[in-house]
Amino acid sequence: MQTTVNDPLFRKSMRFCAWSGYMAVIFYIIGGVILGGMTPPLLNSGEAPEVFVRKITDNQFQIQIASVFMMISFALFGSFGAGIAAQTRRFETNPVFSYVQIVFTAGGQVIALLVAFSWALMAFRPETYHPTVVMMFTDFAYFCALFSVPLFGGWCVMIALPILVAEEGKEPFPRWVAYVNLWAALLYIPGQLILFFKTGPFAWHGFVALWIPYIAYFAWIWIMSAAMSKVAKAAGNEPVVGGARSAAGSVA
Amino acid sequence: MTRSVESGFLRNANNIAWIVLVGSTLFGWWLGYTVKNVQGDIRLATAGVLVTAFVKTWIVGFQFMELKQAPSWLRHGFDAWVIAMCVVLLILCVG
Amino acid sequence: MTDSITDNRRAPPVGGRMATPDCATQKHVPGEVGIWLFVAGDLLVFSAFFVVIALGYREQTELFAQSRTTLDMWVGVLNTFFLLTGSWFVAKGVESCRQAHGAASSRYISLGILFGLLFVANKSFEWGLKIANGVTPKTNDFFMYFFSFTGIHLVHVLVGLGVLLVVRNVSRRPELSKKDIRTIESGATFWHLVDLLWIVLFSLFYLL
Repeated sequence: MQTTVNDPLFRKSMRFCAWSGYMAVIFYIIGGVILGGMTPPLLNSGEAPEVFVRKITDNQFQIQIASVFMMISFALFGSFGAGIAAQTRRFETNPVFSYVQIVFTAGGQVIALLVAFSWALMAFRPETYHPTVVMMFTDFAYFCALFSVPLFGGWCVMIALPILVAEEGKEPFPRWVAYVNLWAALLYIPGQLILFFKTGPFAWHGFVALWIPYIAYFAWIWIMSAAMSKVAKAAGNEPVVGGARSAAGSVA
Repeated sequence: MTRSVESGFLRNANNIAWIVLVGSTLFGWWLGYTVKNVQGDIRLATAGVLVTAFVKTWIVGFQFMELKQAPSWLRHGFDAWVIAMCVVLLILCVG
Repeated sequence: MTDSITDNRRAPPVGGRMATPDCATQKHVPGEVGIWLFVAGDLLVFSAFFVVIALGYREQTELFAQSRTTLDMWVGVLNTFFLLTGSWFVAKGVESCRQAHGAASSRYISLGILFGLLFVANKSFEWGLKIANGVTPKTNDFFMYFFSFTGIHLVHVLVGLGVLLVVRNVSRRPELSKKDIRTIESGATFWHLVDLLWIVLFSLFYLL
């Protein structure tokens, strides 16, 4: 029987980080799905700027409220990502991947916040802005969310790598979590195609470029949060006392 | 001498799988190219191309991915995917 | 050779990891369960892609048939051949790692990498030729699907080549631990997945 570190504060903190993830998904569903018209897309990449303005004016207040929810959702990415990094950190003698993960978390959070910013600006005064400016804000929001594949995909890879290279029994998360991360990273790739298309499945309103990365991304958040919840319950993936490194020092 | 080398080569399941796969690639090519252009039974050729493709897919899974030794849930899960995908594409392309 | 693998194993062999010929009778998940989760996920996504292509074919049969004739059939056949042969060598490499591990193991993996690189070279040549002739993803729906989906597949090939480099490094170790075998099998499984997806893409784009 292995002795593991009993650290109630760490477990509470992990529960907080896991719930940041769950809440991020819930707030996005309220903001982006139910109210905001991001997924399913209210707008269509191939339409005229005037159609954009009309649709946004018709739903202006709703989109504004949605932007608030999206802002809250995306702000929670920070504590969500930091929780993953913290768990990775517990198994590192000299931290590297936990630092890399923090950088990717911060980058991802900022880019995600820009999505909410431009969504809010898009609905700020569509009657005053030139229609093409309104259109640009929509484009900008989807580009931040979908074109940022190396950032969000890289984040997933940086979570997967320390799990895969870890010694047997010293993985920060179960090994299958690493593969889920790699899968998520691959699913974001079609997002880059929005650069080339304004109609069809590869445009930013299309099935392949919008739905696959979005579903993958929020499913990924949910799965990683569940993995953190498991850590919070100290159910597996605990550093062992008297191992290669004093585990107590890592969480002190 | 040559004979024994040959039978040694054919005793390995991976080698046989490779020969069958390359052969069926050529068969699929013939189906898709010659039959369609010369005789013109497009629906039959299309169905043949799809079935050949998924037979190849199954061989890659069964032999190269070593599913023949895998637990049945994994093995039959893959079989089910091959059959389902083949049927769906047949319905869409031929039906 | 077989002994060196067996000796290196600290825990008793589980689930048919035995490096003896009778392993065929024992059940064992190739690689690990995680890689199969990944394979299943990728198959699911590509299933969606296949359906999208098939729907395009159904709705614009004439356009698809016409565009298809401008594809270079021999490039597609050659690429299929490259991936099949690459897969074959990788499968033989894995077999060699388990049954008679030696210098040949990593040589097989190197040959697999070589055929992967040939695929990439041939694909670049094909794309270059198409783009030089003014055929781009914007030409029509067929070429939009063609460039996008074979492009996503090409990303898989490049990732797979990276994975094979890792597998090659591991297979050069004089003695392989259980964990090494798992890494080799998982990497090989991904490479075969790349091959498998191409077989269907090849049929849908070049042959239908």
